[in-house]
Amino acid sequence: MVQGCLDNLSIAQEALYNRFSPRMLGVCYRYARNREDAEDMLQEGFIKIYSQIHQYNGSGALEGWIRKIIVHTCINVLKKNKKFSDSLDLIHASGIEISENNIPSMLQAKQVVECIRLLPIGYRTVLNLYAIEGFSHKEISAILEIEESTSRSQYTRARSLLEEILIKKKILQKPHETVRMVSMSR
Amino acid sequence: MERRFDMSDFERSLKDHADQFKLVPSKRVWNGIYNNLHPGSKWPSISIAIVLIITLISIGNLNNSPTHSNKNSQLTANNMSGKNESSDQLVDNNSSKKNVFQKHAVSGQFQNTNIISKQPSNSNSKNSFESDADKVSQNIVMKENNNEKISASSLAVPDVSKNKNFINWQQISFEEPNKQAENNFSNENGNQELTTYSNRNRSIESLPVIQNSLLSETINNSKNEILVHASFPEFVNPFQILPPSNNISNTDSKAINNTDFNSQKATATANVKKIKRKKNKNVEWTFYAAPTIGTVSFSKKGNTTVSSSNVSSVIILPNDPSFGLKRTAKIGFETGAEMSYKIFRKFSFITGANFTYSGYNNMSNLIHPTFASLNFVDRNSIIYSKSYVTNYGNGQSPNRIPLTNYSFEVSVPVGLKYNIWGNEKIQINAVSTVDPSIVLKKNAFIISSDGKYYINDASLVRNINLAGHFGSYISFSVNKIKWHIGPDIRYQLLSTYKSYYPSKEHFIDYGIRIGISR
Repeated sequence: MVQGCLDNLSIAQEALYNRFSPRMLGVCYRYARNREDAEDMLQEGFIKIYSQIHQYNGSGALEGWIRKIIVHTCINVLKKNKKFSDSLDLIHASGIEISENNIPSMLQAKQVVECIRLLPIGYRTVLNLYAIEGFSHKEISAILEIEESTSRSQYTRARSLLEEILIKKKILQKPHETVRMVSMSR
Repeated sequence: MERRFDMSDFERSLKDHADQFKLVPSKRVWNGIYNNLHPGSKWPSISIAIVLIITLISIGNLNNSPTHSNKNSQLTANNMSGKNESSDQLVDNNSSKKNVFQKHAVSGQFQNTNIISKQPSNSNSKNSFESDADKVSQNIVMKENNNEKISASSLAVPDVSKNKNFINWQQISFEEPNKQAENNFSNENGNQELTTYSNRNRSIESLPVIQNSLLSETINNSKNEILVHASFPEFVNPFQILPPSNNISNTDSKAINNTDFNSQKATATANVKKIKRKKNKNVEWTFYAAPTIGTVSFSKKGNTTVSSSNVSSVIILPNDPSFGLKRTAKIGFETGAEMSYKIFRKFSFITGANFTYSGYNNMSNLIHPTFASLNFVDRNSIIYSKSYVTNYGNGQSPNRIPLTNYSFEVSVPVGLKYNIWGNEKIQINAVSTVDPSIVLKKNAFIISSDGKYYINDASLVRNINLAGHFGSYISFSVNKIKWHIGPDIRYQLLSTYKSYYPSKEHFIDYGIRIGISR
């Protein structure tokens, strides 16, 4: 499949797309404001993937390499649109109230993702990068061009806010010290 | 990116659930990616657009350019006028009035001469020599001691009744035929040039008098009068110069009298025929293009089931319903030029050149490379198989991908057009043609004999095929352009594949043909 993409074969490119696009759209969806934005990010990301696939040396998992490009594409789109720079203001997040009605009644993975998407976009981005993508705060500060301390505080607040949402949705059990998600297994 | 290993349970759990989340993107995303990666795949639409543009430009040029008969008439006129650019107005090309002014393939000088116009030059009726239909005499009077400069357009045809007009020549010299000749008229002092005649090739070719007898001959007729005649019986002999008998030697006059008028007549008759030749209304050229939707039909070859009892058990029809194979139509196109020649009152013979892109999609899915086989039947009904390596499944699993079977052919349609109904402005025609074709480009994905895989083997496709066309078109004229629009069906008469493949496949294209003609 990779070889086919290197040969610019549309069949192989489409096969690669069909295989990874659903999961990558899930990634984009966590960063984007809405689904349309997520699809735009996905499209831009896959174009980059096909144009840079010769850089994939096969040493790691293909999905990890693709995901890395997709995440960076999402961040670049957000930076380009300056959608999260304003919301990185801490004051902005302090007044957020999560009501029960805001929490979608969905199950499992989608439920969690939708809860993440309830966070302000600045919180959400830091949370995605730190908790889900596994970046360090130093890396996040470099990627988002913010202070490392800002990244830490953003993440702390994002996490507490998310826990609050998840508790209200009864996905998490109190107390916070023994945070454990319930009904996570299929 | 360095993965952190200090993730808490919350983060790990969050990550696990987030990673499970999937969304199916809309087709818009892939289309956008595909168009970005393969901008060249738009060539069918671009080529159709180019063909249409070229067709429109061609027809526009045909409409704007002078017709063949007009060209001939111009040519004839130029012959008559010796291609004299500066004196075209001297010539009345109206053959019906037989009113032609003669030109001189001569070069010479007037001495103290002038041309006096006795009649207006722009009046055709006055320029016609009605008094004598067979002989038209044109007389130009050059009077001495008149230094007034005149232009060629001021040369006029004098009244025949006042046939006392003369040219006062000092010197007339004739140059070689097929060579540019100039006729410079100037006064004696050389101060004022009267006019210049540029006489090029063809004009001199039609000057047998000059060619035969007067080449490089100088006629000295100083201060004498030359009567210039132009005699045009039925057609034009504009270059005949009849010098006065008392001023030319006997040899010269004999040469002039012995001029072969028959050859002149033949030449002139040919010119007249060219003028009279009109566009053949029985022939009509049509340029067309048709977007089509390509589908396919399958059938098993008759002899395979009859000749061998076990053939049917090993031959898999590509449309076997038990395998649930799925195919989708594909957009194709047709374009070309068509000539119709009217043979009877309502029937026309049709031929031309046609380009066809036709195909369909097989829905498949990618699999790990595996072996698959195809069974074939030779002429002796002996079954043999051929193995292939493929990575295309039969599309029964998710993540389907389309595999395109297509052919790009050039064909020469031959058939008939029948006029069902119509008048001059609008017509309804039915067209049926047979198209022998040559396959220029092709690709084929064929279902394996066990029905589980698709095998790519374009070599199984015939290089020469035969198709049948049927269409019904409405023809109507708008601004001298005739449009032909209507449904068109193309059925591939021979199987796509070679004879040893035990199943027949026939492309069927449905399209809307749009054509234009003059």
